[in-house]
Amino acid sequence: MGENSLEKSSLQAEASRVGSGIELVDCDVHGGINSIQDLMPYLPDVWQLYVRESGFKGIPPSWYPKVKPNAARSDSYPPSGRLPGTDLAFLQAHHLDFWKIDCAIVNPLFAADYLPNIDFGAALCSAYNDYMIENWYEKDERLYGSILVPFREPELAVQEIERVGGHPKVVQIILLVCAGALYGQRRFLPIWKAAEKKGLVVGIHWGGVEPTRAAGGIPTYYLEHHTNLAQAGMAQMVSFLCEGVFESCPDLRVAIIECGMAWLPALMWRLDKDWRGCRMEVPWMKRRPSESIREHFRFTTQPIEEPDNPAHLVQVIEHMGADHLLLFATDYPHWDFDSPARALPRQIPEPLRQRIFCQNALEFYALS
Amino acid sequence: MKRQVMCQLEEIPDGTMKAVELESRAIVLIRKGKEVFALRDTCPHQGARLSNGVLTSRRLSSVAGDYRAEKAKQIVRCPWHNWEFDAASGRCLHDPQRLRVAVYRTEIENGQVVIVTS
Repeated sequence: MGENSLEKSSLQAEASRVGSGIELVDCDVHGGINSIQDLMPYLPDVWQLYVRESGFKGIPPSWYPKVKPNAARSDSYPPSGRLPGTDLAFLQAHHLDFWKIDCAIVNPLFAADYLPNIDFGAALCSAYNDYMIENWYEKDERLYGSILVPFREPELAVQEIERVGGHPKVVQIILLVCAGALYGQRRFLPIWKAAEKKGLVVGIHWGGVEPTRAAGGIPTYYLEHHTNLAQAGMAQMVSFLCEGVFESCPDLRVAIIECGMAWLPALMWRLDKDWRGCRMEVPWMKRRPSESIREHFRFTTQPIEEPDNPAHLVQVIEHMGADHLLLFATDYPHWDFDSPARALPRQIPEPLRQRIFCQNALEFYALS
Repeated sequence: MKRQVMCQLEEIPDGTMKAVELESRAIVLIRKGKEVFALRDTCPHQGARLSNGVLTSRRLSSVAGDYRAEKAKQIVRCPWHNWEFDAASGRCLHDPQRLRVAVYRTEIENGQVVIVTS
């Protein structure tokens, strides 16, 4: 048996452990286009011409070279030659079948909604959504989808939610966490009302358009950028709470994706304390922020924090004060992928493990 | 019943507070019109004297951007961390079910503020 066969056999043994009695929902899988050419049939004529005439190739790459090409696992390149996460058949076999994943939330990361030309960006969002629905979400019953919206122009964002948000496989609108704006601010409220009305989760995912700014400034290295965008996740959550979004949208649900979760207890403690002393400024915040967080927010596990003593992670989850807050995610096909077999420490009790792997996502996304 | 005179009513101008002592316990008297409320003068958070704080109105709101002051009721805001207490009930506004400062029964008799204890 060669080295590769040994490795595959070992991984398959781990995958079979995952399937024993626990259903698995992966709340962050990346699927999307290989190039702008995939979107051309879905763009109106005038924007097809624009792409051809302008030489538009897609969203410019990040300022930060990743530690791997395309930020992808080295083993996630399909034989078809397409980019990782853009070949559905390969993703089905390599990820969904292999790990026995029952449901996956697909998050296309294409920052069309950040293009300076808002009309072109809106057309790309619509084309991307139509492409994903037709070629991904409708092609595999395990897949549920997120849609892109041109958030900087809330009226257009609402139109897009109205247009495709009612599709039975669409469960979320997806936004990048570092947006140059804090999403709780009042101008964005029509978007959240539209999402609430359609029953869609608002997913806020790690990443953003450069320069992405963590607290304090623009980082130098990818390592800083990768770590510090957790701060942006905190800031977006605090913005939703302090701006009173949930007073206007009492049924809105928000998922903070790939921004970490071990910081949550400390942030809840700090925000609760500060809220007690600053209530005169935000009198619409009638509940303790931590209570609102537990009702309205969920957090994906990947990239899971890895303390030297894994039992400490269990303590952190206990400090969150609820067992329904975490959603398991792999982030396939990215390099910082979390294995369903190994990522969660063994010390996590079985009922909580089952909630994180499955039940929390089924409830939060109302998956059937 | 024990009745103890704390001060003359005129020593507490309307809308102000006065720190007094009752059997070695710090008490804050709060005047609103013809009424005087008496609370334990110690914030349950970190022990500041509430009488050094601010007597003001609770803020009401139904939605972001809606600011109103509830003038009918008075609240005491702690001088240190801004914890707020209803002057009449002693209940803490951010957690009224679990947090309160002790309230004492008061009466006005012949222009004097009297605290009545059992």
